[in-house]
Amino acid sequence: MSDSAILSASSIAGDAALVTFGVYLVGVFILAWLANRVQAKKEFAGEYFLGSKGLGLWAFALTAAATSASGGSFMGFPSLIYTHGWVVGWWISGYVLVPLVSLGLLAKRMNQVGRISGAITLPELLRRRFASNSVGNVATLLIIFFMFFYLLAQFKAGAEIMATLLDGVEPYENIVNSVESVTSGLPWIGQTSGDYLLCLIVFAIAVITYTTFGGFRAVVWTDVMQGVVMALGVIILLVLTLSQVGGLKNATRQLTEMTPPEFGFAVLQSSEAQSSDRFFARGTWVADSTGEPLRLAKATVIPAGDTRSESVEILKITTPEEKQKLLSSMEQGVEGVDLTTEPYAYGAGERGGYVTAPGPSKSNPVGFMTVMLAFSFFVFWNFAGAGQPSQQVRQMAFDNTKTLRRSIILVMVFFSIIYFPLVIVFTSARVLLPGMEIYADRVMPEMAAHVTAAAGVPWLAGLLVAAPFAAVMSSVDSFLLMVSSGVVRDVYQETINPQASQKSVKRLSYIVTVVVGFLGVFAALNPPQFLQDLVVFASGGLAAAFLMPVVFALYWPRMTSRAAVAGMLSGSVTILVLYLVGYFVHDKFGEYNLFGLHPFIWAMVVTSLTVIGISLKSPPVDSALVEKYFGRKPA
Amino acid sequence: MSDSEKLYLSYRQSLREFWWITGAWGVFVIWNVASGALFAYQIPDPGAEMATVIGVPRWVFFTVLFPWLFGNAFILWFATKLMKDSSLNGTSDPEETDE
Repeated sequence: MSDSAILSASSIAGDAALVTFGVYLVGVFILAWLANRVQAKKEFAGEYFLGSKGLGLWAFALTAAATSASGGSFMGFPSLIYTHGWVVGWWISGYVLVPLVSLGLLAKRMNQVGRISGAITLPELLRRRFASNSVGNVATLLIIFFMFFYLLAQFKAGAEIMATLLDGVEPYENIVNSVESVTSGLPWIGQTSGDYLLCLIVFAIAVITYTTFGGFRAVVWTDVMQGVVMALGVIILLVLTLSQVGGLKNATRQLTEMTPPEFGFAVLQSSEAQSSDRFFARGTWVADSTGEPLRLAKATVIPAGDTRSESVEILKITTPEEKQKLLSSMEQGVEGVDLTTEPYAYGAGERGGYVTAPGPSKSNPVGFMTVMLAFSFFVFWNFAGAGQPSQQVRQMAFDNTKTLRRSIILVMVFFSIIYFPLVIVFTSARVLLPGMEIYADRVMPEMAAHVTAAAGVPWLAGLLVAAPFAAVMSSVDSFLLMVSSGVVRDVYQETINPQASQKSVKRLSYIVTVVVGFLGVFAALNPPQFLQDLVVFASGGLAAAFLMPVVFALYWPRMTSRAAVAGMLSGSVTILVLYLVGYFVHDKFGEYNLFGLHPFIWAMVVTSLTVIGISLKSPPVDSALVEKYFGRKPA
Repeated sequence: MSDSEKLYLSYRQSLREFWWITGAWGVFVIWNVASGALFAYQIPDPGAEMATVIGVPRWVFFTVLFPWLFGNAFILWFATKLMKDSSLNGTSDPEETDE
C-alpha cells in the first residue's frame, strides 16, 4: 500500500473517529442521566458506590471484563505483537484462565462477606471482617496512593489515543491551533502541546461528568456498551484482516521469511535544488543509494536552494520480499545517503524470528520472551487481576450466584473473542503494513483504516477505532470512583463524621469525584516520561498489597487484624524494595526480576508467609467474629 | 439446620471451588511453560516451511490455542457443574433470597 493511500485512509479514519466520538459521548451521557434517575430512588452511598449490589448477568460480566481491558489492550498489546510476532501469543496466554481466577476465586465469598458485613467498599469490608479501624485505614491509604498513579496514567492514555486518532482532521486541527495560541505563554500548561491538552480536557470532562453524575451504575452501564464495542470491533477487524492477507496460513508463511528491520540515520539528498522548502512527512518511503527502501521515523525538510536535509532517523527494511513490494511506494527524486544503521540486539538477519520464541528485540540481547518471563506472566495476568481492588469491589455487586456462574462463562467468551484474535490480526499486520515500527503504538488505528479502506467500507473504521476509546474510558471511570469512595466512605464517613446525613454524603461524593478527577488531569498535563512503568508499578503494588490478605481474610478464620495490616504493608514494601533495587541496577525506573521472576510473585510469597506467621503468633480471633463470617460447623 | 451452619457449609463449598481453581491453574501453567520451553524456540531450518496447524505455528497451537480451547471447556464445566449456588447473605437458602 502506498504512503498516500495510508495517509488518506488515516484521514478517513480520523473523520470517522470524530463522528464516532461524538456519538459515543452522547451515548454515555444518556446512560449517566438514566443512572442518575435510578439513583434518586435509592439509598445514596450504596447506590452511588456499588449500584445497590443488584448487578445482573450482562452488567456484572461486562463491567468486570471491560474494566480489565484497559487502553493497553488496544494500543500497547497490538504494538507488542507487531514488534515481536507470534511469541506475544504465549506472553498473553495466561488470559485463558483469567475469567475463572479473577471471578471464581474470590467473588462468591467476597459478595457473601460484603453482604453479611454491610460493606460497600473494600476497606470497609476488611475493617468489618476484622473489627479493626487500623485495617480499614491502611487499606484506604494504600488504595488512594497506588490508584492515583493509575488514574493519571489512564487520563494520559485517553488523551494520547484521542490525539492520535484525530490527527489530521481539519476542524480538530483548527481548534488545536487556537488552543496553542492561548496557552503558549502560560506556566505549567504552556509546556503541553495543544493537541494533547485539548484531548485531555475533552476526554477528562466527559469521563468526570458521567462518573460524577451517574455513579457506579453509570460506570457499569457504560462498561456494558464499551464491552460490546470492543468485541464487535475485534470480530470485524479479524474477518477483514484474514480476507485481505490471503488466509492465516499465508500470513504465517510470509512472516516466517521476515527478518527484523534496522534503525539508523540518513541524509535525504535530492537530484536538484528546489526554489521552495521540500517537506517529507514521518512515514515517507525513500530509496537508499542502492535502491533499497528506507522509512522516515521523523519528519524532515530539504531547505530551498539546498539539495540535502539534516540527518534524520530512519528504518531500513531487510526482508527481500518486503523490499520488492515497496518499490512502487517510494518518493521520487530523492534518496537516502550517508546511511548508518544498527541491527536488532536479538534476531538480526535471522528468518523465523517472528514465528518462534524468544522473538526479535531491538534492545534485549536475549530476545523478548524467556521461559521465566512466560511463567511470570501466567502468574501475573491471573492473580494480579484477581488482586485489583477495582475488580474486588465489583465482586460485591452481583445479585446472586447464578449471575456469577453465568458471568464466568460470558467473560470467558469475551476474552476469547478479544485476545487470541488480536494476536492473529497484528501478526498479519506485519504482512499488510510494513515499517510500522516507527510508530508501533499507531498500528491499531492504522490497521482499522487500512482494512476498512481496502474493503471499501472506510466508515467502519469509526467503530474499530472506538474500541481503544472504550477500553480507556471504562478503566478511568472505575478508578475515579474507587478513589472518591476511598475518600468519602472510608475516610469521611467511617472516621471523621459517622453520623453524616445522606444529603451531605451525596454532596461530598460529587465534589470529591470532580476534585479527584481534576487533580488527575492537572498531574497528567505534564506526565513524567516513565509513566507507563508507573502503571505497571501501581497495578503490581495494588495486587501485592491486597490479593493474599483478601484471600486469607475470606478463607482462613484464624487470620488476625494484626496479620492483615502486616500483610498489606509487607506486600507493598516488597514491591517498593524490588523497584528501588531495579532503579539502582538499571539506572532507570523499573522492576528488578529476582531470579527472573516479577516482583509481584515475590510479594505474594512474602505476604503469605507474613500473614500466616503473624496470625499464628497472635492471640486467637474472637469466636463471635469467626462465626459471623464463617458460620458454625454442624454437630 | 441453623443459618450459622448453612453459612459454614457454604464457606466450605467456596473453599472447595477455590482449591479446584488453584489446581487447574497449576495444571495449565505446567502445560504452558513446559510446552513453550520445549517447542517454541525451534527456529525452522533455512528454506524449510514453518510447521502449522490451522494456519498458526504448530508450537502456538499446542502451547496457546489448544490449551485455550481446553481451558474454555474446563471453565464451562466448572461454572455449570462444579460450582454450586449459595446464599449470599449467609442466612437463608439461595432459592429464598437470590432470585
